[in-house]
Amino acid sequence: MDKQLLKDTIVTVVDSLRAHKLRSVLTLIGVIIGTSVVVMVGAVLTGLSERVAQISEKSAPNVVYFTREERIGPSFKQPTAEERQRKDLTYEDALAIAELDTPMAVSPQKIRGSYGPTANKPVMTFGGREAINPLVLGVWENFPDIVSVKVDQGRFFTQTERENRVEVCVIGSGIARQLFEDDSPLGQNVRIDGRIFRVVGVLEQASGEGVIGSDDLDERIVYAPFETIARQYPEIKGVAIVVRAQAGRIDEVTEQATATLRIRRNVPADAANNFGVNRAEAVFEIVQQIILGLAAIVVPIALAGLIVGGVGVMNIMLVSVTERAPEIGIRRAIGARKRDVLTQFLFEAVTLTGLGGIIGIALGFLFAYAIQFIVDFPAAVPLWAIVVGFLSSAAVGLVAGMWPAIRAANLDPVEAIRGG
Amino acid sequence: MIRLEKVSRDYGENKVVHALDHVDFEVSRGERVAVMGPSGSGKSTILNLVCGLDDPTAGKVIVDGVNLAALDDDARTRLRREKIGMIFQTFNLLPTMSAIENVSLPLRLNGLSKKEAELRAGAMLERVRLGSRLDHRPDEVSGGERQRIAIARALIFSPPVLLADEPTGNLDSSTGEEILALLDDLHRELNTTMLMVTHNEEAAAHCDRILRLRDGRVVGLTGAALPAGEGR
Repeated sequence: MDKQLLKDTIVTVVDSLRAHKLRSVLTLIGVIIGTSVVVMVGAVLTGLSERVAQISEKSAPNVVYFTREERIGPSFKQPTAEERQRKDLTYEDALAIAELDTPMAVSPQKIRGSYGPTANKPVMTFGGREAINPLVLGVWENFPDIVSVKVDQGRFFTQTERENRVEVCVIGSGIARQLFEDDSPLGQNVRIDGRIFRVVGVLEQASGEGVIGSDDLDERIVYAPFETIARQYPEIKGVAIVVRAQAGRIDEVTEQATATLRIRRNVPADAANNFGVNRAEAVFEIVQQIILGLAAIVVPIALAGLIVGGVGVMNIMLVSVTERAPEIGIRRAIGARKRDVLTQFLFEAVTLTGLGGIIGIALGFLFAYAIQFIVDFPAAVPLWAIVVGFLSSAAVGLVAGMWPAIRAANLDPVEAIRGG
Repeated sequence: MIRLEKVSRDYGENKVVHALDHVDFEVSRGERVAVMGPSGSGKSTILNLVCGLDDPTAGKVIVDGVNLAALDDDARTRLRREKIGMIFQTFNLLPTMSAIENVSLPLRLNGLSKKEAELRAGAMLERVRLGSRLDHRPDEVSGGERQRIAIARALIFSPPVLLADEPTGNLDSSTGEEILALLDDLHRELNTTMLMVTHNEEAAAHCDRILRLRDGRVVGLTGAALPAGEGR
């Protein structure tokens, strides 16, 4: 088909659609909904995925946490019997890992408090005020090099302070606000579970971005020297071990540190680790996989909507062929070949559904940005959603239009002119 | 120009209807022949056979020296595009298209650009005195004007053959007379060979000869064949 004829066919098709406006719109609703759902789902999933990637970028890349339990952080799962019977990780384990060649920085970590809500939270006070759910971490002075911790006022504690078990602490900005309001916390003595600690630093305010809404974990953290916490809280037995690798060497470091722990904890060669190996990125990788999984389910469902739309298009096209039989007969009589009629009807179907696709994509954009506006969520319409949405709507037209088009082309012109 | 040799056309399988029964006749180039007869006598069947929309059960239909039986569907379509203009009792214009679009349609099917086709269609519509109706759709003009649009469409590509199926059948007598006068004018200009099916003796009087049919058989052929170009 040459270019001119193609152009003419499009003009003819648009004329013919204009002549049946209401019917065209009704026919298109299924296709429009299907396409807009594809675009919207694509936008939401991409937004989610991008947000997760941003957070993953921010939260300690190249860092691995070794813990007694399988997972760090809040969990809905009770530990298994096997997990409860595990030996604690020890200070000596941390030292052994620190002696490996590859790690860049290692710190043990004792935790007083909880990542999630807890009944047994530390009591932290200044004057008459009390901090809300603080999380006290005993760590080494190199901790700011391991996890991105930025001190806004004052300083982090020193090696000397740690070795001498001095009661000093660096507090999160949320706690600073709760205990000191607008006054400077530096040099002030706070009480943690009744013991006195001097505030030497305040952390930078967290950027406030979680996956959805903000995360206040950074706000309620209190860092203190590991040795100080170890002496003050002899009842906290185990430690977690935090290891940072140089860029690109996290796999190697994780492998070596894991091997070291397995030897120290006498894990048989064929048995699973009896400790947890947690990587921030790994957690985000899982989230990404879940998002992909969702896309794999939801996008085909949306496409099924398109197929339903296609059935509608086929139905309407069949009616249209019957109704327009005289027109088809006239065209054949004045010189349209069978394949001209076939092409015309196929084109009509594809133009119809393609148009529906474009409207659907536009609506999908609208919905996606409405979602972004209403729930502060980064919806970004990805190119693939536009391409998939448009191509599949056009394909629906091609498939749904084929049978009616063949019927139109094979009508007997003499019968057709008389009205079918 | 048009020759039917022992042409029969039967319809139906169990109860066979002989729409045409061994029909023989010939129309010379530039000649105008009226086909007359009661309903069901096979008049329209002749037109359908001559334009290749229908096939004879027996016999040969020869148009411009070509036996239509030898042509496939595409070749017959090309024959219609290039050599045969058609006008109908019910005009058969495309209702969604304007006058100029209807008239340019055969040219566009022949691959002309929309611009070129509409230029020529505009001139043709002027020729049938519809220069002021170019953008009107069929339902916006009178019956006589519709038939003039249909005539413009049939003759836009200067076909050597014009087939007319009761062209005045749906028009009052004065409008019918107008249409016949227009056909006379165009015939003088273009020397088109015409086969016109009609019930109307007055319309038939505009032709050189009259072929009379009854029950699918030729029952009379009146008027002497006139030399080409000497129509009345």
